[in-house]
This record gives sequence, structure tokens and C-alpha cells, in this order.
Amino acid sequence: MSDEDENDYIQFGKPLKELTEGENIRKRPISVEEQIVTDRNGKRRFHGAFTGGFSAGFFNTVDTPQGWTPSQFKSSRGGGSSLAVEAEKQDVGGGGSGRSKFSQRPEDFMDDEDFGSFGFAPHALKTKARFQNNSSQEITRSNRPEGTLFGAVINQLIQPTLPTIGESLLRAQGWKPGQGIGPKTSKRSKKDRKSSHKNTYGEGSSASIRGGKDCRGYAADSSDDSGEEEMMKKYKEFMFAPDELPVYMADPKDNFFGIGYKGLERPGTGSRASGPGSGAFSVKSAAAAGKKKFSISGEAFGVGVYEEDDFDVYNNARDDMAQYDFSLDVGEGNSKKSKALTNSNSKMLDELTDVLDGFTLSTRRSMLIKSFPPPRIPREWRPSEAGYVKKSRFDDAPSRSEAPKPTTSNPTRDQRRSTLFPDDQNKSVGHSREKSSKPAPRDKSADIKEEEVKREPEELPDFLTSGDGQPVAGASGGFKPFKADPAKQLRYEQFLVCIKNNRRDALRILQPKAMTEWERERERVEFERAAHLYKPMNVAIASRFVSSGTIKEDGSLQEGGVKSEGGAVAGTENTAVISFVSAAGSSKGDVSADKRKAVDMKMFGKLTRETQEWVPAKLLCVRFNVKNPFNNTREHEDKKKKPIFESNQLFAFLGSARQASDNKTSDNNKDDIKEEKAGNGDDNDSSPPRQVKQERIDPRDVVLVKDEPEIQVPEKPPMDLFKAIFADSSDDDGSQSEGEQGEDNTNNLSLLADNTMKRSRGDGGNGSGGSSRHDSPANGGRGPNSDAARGIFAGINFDKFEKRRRKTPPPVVPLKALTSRPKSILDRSVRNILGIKSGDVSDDEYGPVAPPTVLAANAAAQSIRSKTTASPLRRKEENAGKSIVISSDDTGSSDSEKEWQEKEKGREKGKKKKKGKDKEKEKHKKEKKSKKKRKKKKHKSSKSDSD
Amino acid sequence: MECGPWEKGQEPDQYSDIPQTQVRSVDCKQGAVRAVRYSVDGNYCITAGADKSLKLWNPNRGNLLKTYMGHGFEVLDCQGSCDNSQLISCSLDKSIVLWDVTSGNFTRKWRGHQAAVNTVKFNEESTVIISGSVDTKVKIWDTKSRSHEPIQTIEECKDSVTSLDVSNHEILVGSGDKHIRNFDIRMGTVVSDYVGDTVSCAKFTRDGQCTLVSCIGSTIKLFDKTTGELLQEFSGNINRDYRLECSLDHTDKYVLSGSENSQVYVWDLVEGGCVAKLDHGTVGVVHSIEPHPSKGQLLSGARCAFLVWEVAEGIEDERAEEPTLSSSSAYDSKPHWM
Repeated sequence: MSDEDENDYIQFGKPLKELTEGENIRKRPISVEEQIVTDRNGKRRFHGAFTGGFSAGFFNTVDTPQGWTPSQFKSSRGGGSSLAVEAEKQDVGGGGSGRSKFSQRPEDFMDDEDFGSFGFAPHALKTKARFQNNSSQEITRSNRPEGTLFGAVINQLIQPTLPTIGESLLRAQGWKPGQGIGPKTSKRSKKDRKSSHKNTYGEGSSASIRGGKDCRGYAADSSDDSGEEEMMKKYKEFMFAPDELPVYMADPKDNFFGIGYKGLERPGTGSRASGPGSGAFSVKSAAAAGKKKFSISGEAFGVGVYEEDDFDVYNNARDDMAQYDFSLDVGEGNSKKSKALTNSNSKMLDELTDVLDGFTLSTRRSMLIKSFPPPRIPREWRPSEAGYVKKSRFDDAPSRSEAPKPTTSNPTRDQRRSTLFPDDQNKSVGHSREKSSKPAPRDKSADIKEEEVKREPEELPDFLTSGDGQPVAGASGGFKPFKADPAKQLRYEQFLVCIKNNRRDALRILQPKAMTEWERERERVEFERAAHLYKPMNVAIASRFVSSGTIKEDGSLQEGGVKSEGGAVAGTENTAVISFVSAAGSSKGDVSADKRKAVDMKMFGKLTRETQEWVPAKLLCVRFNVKNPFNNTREHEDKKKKPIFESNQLFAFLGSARQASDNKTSDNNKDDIKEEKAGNGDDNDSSPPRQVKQERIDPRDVVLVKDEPEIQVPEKPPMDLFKAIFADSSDDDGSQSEGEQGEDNTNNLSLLADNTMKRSRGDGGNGSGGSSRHDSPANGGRGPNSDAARGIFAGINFDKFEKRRRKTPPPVVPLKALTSRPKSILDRSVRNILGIKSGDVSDDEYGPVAPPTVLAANAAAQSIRSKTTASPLRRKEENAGKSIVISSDDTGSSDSEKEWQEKEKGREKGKKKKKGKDKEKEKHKKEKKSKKKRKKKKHKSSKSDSD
Repeated sequence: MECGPWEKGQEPDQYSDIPQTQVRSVDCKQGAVRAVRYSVDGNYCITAGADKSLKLWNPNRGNLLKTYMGHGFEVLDCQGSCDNSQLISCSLDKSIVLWDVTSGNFTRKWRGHQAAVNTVKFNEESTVIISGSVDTKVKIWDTKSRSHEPIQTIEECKDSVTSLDVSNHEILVGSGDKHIRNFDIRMGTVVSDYVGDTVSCAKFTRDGQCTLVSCIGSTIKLFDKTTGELLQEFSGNINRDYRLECSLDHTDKYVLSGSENSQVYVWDLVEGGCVAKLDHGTVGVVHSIEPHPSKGQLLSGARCAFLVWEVAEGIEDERAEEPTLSSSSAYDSKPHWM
């Protein structure tokens, strides 16, 4: 709110707090009744008149699921009191059959959380602060050497609860336990002081006072000088509190030996062995205690004060003695040896580094792993392919592309792309653009090192050249299944060429002589399998995928992505830089040069403009309140729905590509295909006239025997695959159409092409009224729901429309429509029904229409034929339940047929009921039934034939 | 009589009606503000945030009215319906959501795009929603049906759709493939113009005769809609990496555009010269701008805040005194087809 605003408006109160996300504004305040305190289990915590109750029992009632039962007397004679309590506790939950006379405690009705620290009956024993041990105090006290046994006892017995007055005074002055007393000093002076202290009292002294640990610390200080120096430099200006210097306390003398002399001792025997004053020795012996069975310490004989120190046999020997193995252990040999190696120096190190017991520091330094520097790349060397420098997509300046990145083992985006879509290479992407002038002979094998491919022939034999005489290195279509072995990969690629030239046997020549026969054979099999699996992707499909970046002419990569301003908002918000442009089709390639030129010259207008027809959807026109420019005659392409492939663009495209190629080839000899097929059908499947209404003409029906089209269309996966993927939808379809099948209780048989159905549906029920407006056969499948005929359409004899239609000359078909759908499938199938040979009749011709009876008979005969010709796949598809349309007004059917249909109907009804059951079962049943059906049909057909 | 003061006022300060006084800066607290949009009458505004939320504000007071949560990812664009009862938003999560303004719940959610949806627009009657996505498709959705399928999918673009504008019978699509395409529903034609650079924003002028196109790495251009000829070019702003919006003010007198140097540039439509720069301080990129539909007010979105700009004091007072003026100018500024 700015000041100005406040002048403009009168505001009462202050604005509401901004709500946190997801929070809804409550309309009314929470009433007292709604403010329920719940415990951890979600149970209501307080209830009752004064909310003083506590939760327990069954649903917060002090009760059990069985209701409240008064406590009963239970003799405690049988069991002890503790048992009784146990029993009672169990009874609380399980319906009190027997209550003890023990009075119930409130705790019995409490939950666990009530005893917790936040419950109302917390159960925890705590020491009061007053009696809590001050840990630091404890340490100092424990470190204080007890002079005598008496002192130690006294110390343990009498422990002051409060700090001493001295201590509290010191604390008041800023002293903290663990620090020494005195002004703060620098690190250096601190160290000096420490060393002077050491000099005064010696290490032994401090050790005797503070114990081994501190002694070790001092040693570390002295030895670790270099590190210390650094520290001192670093913290020159820092002041530290002085170290707490241990109070020197002399060991109480309790023997009659000379000063400094210790007699021989054995840890087990000496009464004072475990005494606190035994110093270094005690440490040593304690460390060795686990292992050694025997150790002797101390001196046997002393040396006089005025005498020179002899070689201290005993002290030096002491260690050796300690190490000495008195038993004959085999396993200890090695460790003994290694221990023998340790000299005094390593021992000191040992102490410093806290080597684990039983280990010693190695005397030898471990071998360093030799490092080999990477080979030096000659200065003049340039990677063969210029690297692609990422840069802003919209930055035209080629400055950054000057620094080429050496190619790595990882393929760049472009390489990957080119390997994926080799055919696409010259179109738009990358290096191939510069090289496109000369035919790229070594594009693929460029990364295969030359020397590794020893057998590369200088002059390729004829079977290794493709038609245009170029060596085909990239024949594997970019897939390199044997990339690990370049020689093999090369062989494989050559093998592919051999296959192309129909010289499979040539592989033998290619294979090195060193290979055994078995290896050769194996490789051949491997290659064949690989060749089968890795088919180069269709060019058409390849064009569907476009890399997110485009390569400019100068060879630099344009990274797709217009960033959105994330703003440098602190934290996470600005992380997302949104790529607004990802599927950047090589837009430059699309635009013609003159357009670009025109833009450069700012000659916008005609040169840069293109006008095309665009068909808005009908509904869109309605919503925009605009008259449909095409007057409802055309519908936009969105409506070509492919029921199966709808969700998957790739498959859909496969289908359409197939269709497109089919259209090219199918026109000439489509009908003799059918006939040809009819010839070699299998006999066991001679069924009654089949009533088939295909949902959509499968291209496979149209083209079966064909030359290879120009574009290699990969084999469409078998229908089973799609069914496996889209099992649900196909199942549904099946059941649905089965249902329909049951619905039509008609007896005329008419084989109808789908187009008729679709059109009639697409025209919004025109067909049902009888006044059918037929545009063109190609326009047929454009209906919004080009499914099987259902409902009111199911019973219509479309033959009639067919007749009428055939009299009208076929209207002009839009080119677009023609390419998208196979032409005149309808005519063909109808012809098939009529049994007209294709050779006699052209598309536009038509003969007199046979009377219905003849028609039916003909249809029967034809469908038998067509059925036998149908590929097993297709049959399966049909069996899966494409809808069968039976028109009602045919009189030519026999009674037996009626009967059959009645039965069928019943069957279908039965099926309908089972719809919801297990799918696999259903499938199984379906198969069985279809078998049965076929059998029956066989019967009937033979009957009707005889009739 | 109405024109009198205007003409007099124009002499000393010709460009005094440019909203160049920053009145308010509102931190939206929703991450980066991806888009800021006025409601149809200009009384409210909506911001699309990077934190998946959509917020409804009163720009005159700068207070938050409602937050709409439900997107799965950053909201990229939004718009209010013609009756202010609905909002539409599109998101990086590929979905388009239709919101009920009062309840804050979403009434419809469409998931038809295969990539992030860059931009979304209502048609004039808010019966149809048009969305443009990175998947190069423009989809048209029906708000009236329960269908999850679009009415129509336009697949003409070869690259991501960056910008959309809708008139009463046309859909203007700006795309990453350096084309703007004008889909004329009435004619059944699509007119595609090659503009030489990736389109970051394409808009109809309010009179519907011209198109204003800003391109990345290039100047903002004004094209004649019918012939496709270049009428004027506006240069000066920096637009290299980001999808900056450009716009015309409510009188079609000025061209406004964000810039990557924390400015909003204002050009005279006819002269083509830069007449004002609205400095945003240090925020960096000003990527979303939205002029008020009927008065001299401007919203600009930058970073995590939107800024409200208004015409300088004197003019403001003048207008306050003469409400008829502003209202009439509002009518004048309406597109010709209305």
C-alpha cells in the first residue's frame, strides 16, 4: 500500500493476512465445540463436562467393547499378587470375567502417551538439577591424583554438591572448566609456556599426573611442529585462554627405595601394581594385558646418584621381554616377526597414530600407483569433425563456433541423429551440409580407427558396392550392433551390402582366415539376426522426429530454447528456464532462399506470404458464430479417427504410411489379388456365407503380393501385438459387437463394405432416412464416429443404397482425401460379394443387379471363397468380434439358418452376461466358441448348399 | 469539446498519456511471474506464477483476492473470460485448466498437448479456448462440452507455438518456425507470413487491420494484415533469449514491449520512434506486459512481481474530471468488429 492509496481510499482495520497456499478461508470462526484436542492416535483427548476426562478404554469410555461390567471379587489365593495384577490388566481389554479385589489404578486406563513426557502423568525419574553431576567438575576431580589410599577414599566418599568457592569465583571472572588461569595469550606464547612447563617437570611428570593421554598429547605437540606453525600463522591475531596446566603432585613415597627407583614388579603380584601412580608402565601393561602372560617391569638394581648410567639393560629388555612369546603358537609367528622389526622410532609413531592393537606401522612405504599422463595431442591436430558449440538459438554471430570442441567418445547430438536417420542426413543437419557436395563415402566408419580395421580392402569387390557404385559403409542404417569390435562391425556392414546384392555367401571371403569354421558360421547367424532386427528406420518416420536443436550452416548447434524470464528470484523459483521452442524443425531448411532474401531486404508481403486452404471444424465455426466457409461439405482432418492407433502416434503413422504406399500400388491389380488368394485357401475352413462388416479396411487386405515399394516400410507388427498392448479396447470392441450381433435378429446376409456404413453414419443418419447423400467413396470414413454400425443402422439393408449409388457417377474426389484412403475398396468388396471377376469390370462399370435371392446365394459363395483366402491373422481379427450386419428384409434364407441365428442369439446373450468376468477365461471361451461356431457353420452351409 | 483539452495538451507534452509513472509494485510471492493479464474490464488482474499457482489481484490496491492452485507445474499463461466468471491457464505440465473464479476450483482440465503449453486464449465469447504448445500444435477446446478431445487441432506449425491471438474470426499463431499464421475461420484460409526470426509475440492491433509481431533477435514489426506488408518497425529493445511480449496500448497509439534490460519500451505507432522507457530498476527482463483495456494503465511482469504504471498526475486528474472522455475513448479503442 502506498501513501497515495491511503489518501484515495478509506480503509478500516488492516488487510487480512495473505493466506498460505491451499488454505481455504473459513466462513465462520471455529466454535469451541469444534476445537477438539486429539491425542496421537486421533482419539479425543478431553471430554466430559469440564473437559477434564482422559481418554482410555473403549472409544474413550472407561469401558470395554462388551460394555461395563462391575468388578468382581477374585480370590488371590491361587496366584501371587503380581499374577493377579497381570490377569487384571489383561481383563481390561478382554471383557472382565474375573476381577481381582485389587483396586484399579488410574494408570490402567491411561494410554502410553499419557506417561510420556507430555502426558499428564509423566513417568520418568529425573535427578534434580541440584544433584546433577557437573561433568567437568567430575573430570577435574577424577584427574586429581589421590595421594594416599586414604585420600582416594575420602575423595570418593565426600563429594561436594556445590562447586567450591574458588571455582565459583573463577567462573564469575569468566573462567571455564578446562581452561587454565591467566590472561589470554596468543597461540605462540601458549606453546612456549607449554614447552617450558614440560622442561621443568618433564614428560614423565605430566604423565604421572594427567595420565597417558595427555602425555601423548604433548608428544604430538612437539612432533607436529610444521602443522603447528601453520596454525600459528593462521591464527596470529586470535587470543586463546591458557591451557590448564596440571598441578604437579608428587607421588607419595611409601617405600624405602631411593628416589626414582622402582623395584621389579609383576602386574599380578605387586599390590601397588594397579595403583594410580604406576604411570607409563601401567599403561603399557594394561595395553598388553590381553595378550601377554608374563611381564616384568621395574629395575632390579638401582644405580647410584653419582654413578654414570649404564646401558639400561632391564629397561630396554623390558620391552623385549614383554614381546617375548612364551608359548609355542604357530599363528603368531608373523606378527612376532613384524613386531621384532619395530624400532623405537616406529614405536613412537605407533603411539602418535593410534595404531590398532596388534598392528604396527609398516616400515616400508607402500608402492605408489604409477600414473601415466595422457598422450599429448599435437598442436596442429584438429578433430575430423568440427565440434558443435552450443549457443543461443537466436544468436546469429558465428563467433563462438570458432572454438572447436574435440570429439569425444560420446557421439554428439548430431552424430546420434545421423546414426538414427541416415537418410535424413543431407537434409538439414550438421556437417553433412558442408560435405554434401561430395558424396560422403566415409561418414560412418570415420570413428572406427583405421589401424584396427586391417582388412579394409583398398578396392572393394563388386558385391560390396551398392547400385550407384559407392562403397556402402553405413548400410547398417546407423545401428551398430557390433560397435565394440570395429572389424566385426565393418564386416557386418559389408555383409548387409552383400545381402542387398544377394550374395550372402560372400561373407566367407570377408571373414579373416584365422577364424574357425564354427566361428564363421556363428558370426553369419549373428549377422543375419542383427540384420533382421536392426532394420533402418523408415525415412518417413525419421522425419517425424526432429531434434530439439538445429544445426546452422556454419556448423554450430542451435540449442532450441527460448528462455522465459525466470527472474533471479532468490531460491528455487528461478530454476526453471523454460524451453519454449523444442521441436525445432529445421525451419531454415523449410523456408526457401528467396523468402529469406525478401526478409533481409524487408520486402515483406507477397514474397513472404503463402495462403492455403484451411478447413475449420464445424463446431469451431459454430462457436465463433461464423458461417462455415465450406458449407459443411468438408470436415477437417481431425475426424479421421483410428480406433486402435489413436493413442499412439507412431503406430498411427505406420498405418497411414502403409495406406499411402498401398494406394499407389493397389489400384491396378487389386482384384486379382483376391482371386489369387481365393485359389490357395485352406479347405477346412469352408464356412457358411460370412457376414463380415469390416470396421476399417486393413491395408493388408488390399496389398498382399506386391513389389517392394520405394520407401521401405517396416513390417507392421502382427495384430497380436496390438491386441496385447491394447487388449482392453479390443476386448471391449469384441464384446460390444458381439452384443450387436445378438441384437439383429435378421436373416438376410449381406456383406457390406465399411465405407457404406461409415458414410451413412457420418452424414448424421441420412442413410437411415433412405435419402442418402453420397459424396465420394473416399470421403466415407470421415464420420465422427466411424465405428461399426450400431443401433438403428444395424438393420438397414445397405445394398439398396449401394445400388442407387452405383448409378450415379462417382464425384470428383479431393486429392487429399484420395491419398489418405485406399480407393474403391467398397467397390471391390461389393464386387466380391457379387462374384464379379475383376478383369471384366472396371471401377466405373457395373452390371445389372441380381435379384436378392441370387444375390444372397452369390454372397454366400463369395464369402466362402473370401474367407478361405483371408490370412489367418485377418480371420482371427474377424473372430475377435467385428460386427456382423444382417439385414432384415431378405427372404432368401432357409429355416435352418433362422434357427442357427436364434441359437447364436442365445449364445451371445449368455456371453453378454459373462462380460465382467475374467478376461483370459473369456478369451479362451471365445476361441472355443468360435471353433464351435465354425463347425456349426460348416454344417449349415452344407445344408443350405444342398437346399 | 472533448478533444479540446487533448489537443491543447498535446502541444507541450505530446506523449503525456503514456503510463510512465510507476504506481505500485506488487510482490506476487509465487515465484517468477510468467504472465500478468488484466481481466476483461481491467479491474482485476491475474498473474501466472512459477510456483504452480494462479493469483487474482486488484491492481489498483495491490491486494491478493484469490489463489488458484491445481497445476502440476509452472503456469505459463492465463486469461480471464469475457464475463469474469472463469479463468483459463496453461502450464508446463501440458495441461490447460479452466477455473471457476469464485470457487477457486477448476471446472475443466484438458490434457491433449504433448508438451508444455505456452499460451492460451479465450475467444471473444469465451466459448472456445485456443492453446498453443511446444508440441507445435494449436488446439481448440470447447468450454461448453464435457469432451476431453479438442474441437480441432491445427498442425500447420513446424515449431513450437509461442504466441496466440484471437479476434472474432481469426486466430493468429506465432511460432518458432519464424512464421506467423493467420487462420481465418470465416474464409477457411490460413495465411502464413515468413517473418525471418522466431516469433516471440504476435498480436492483432485493436482495429484488426494490422499485426504486431516481435521476433527474437530482431525488431518489432507492424504488418498489414491483408497484404502482409511491413508498415513500421520498432527497434531499440533487447530481445535475445526470452519470450518477451509486445502490445499496443488501448488507443492503438503506442507500441509497448518488454526488454531484457529491465525497461519497457514505448514507441509511437505511426512515427516508429521510441518515446518512452519505463525503467524497472534492476529486475532484468521484463517479459510480460499488459496494457489496460480501456485506460492509461499498464501492467508489467518482471521477476516475482508485477508493476502497475499509470499516466502521470495531471493527465490522471484530467481524466478523472472528465469520465466521459475515458469512456468514449474506451469505445473508440474497441476493435472495429465490436
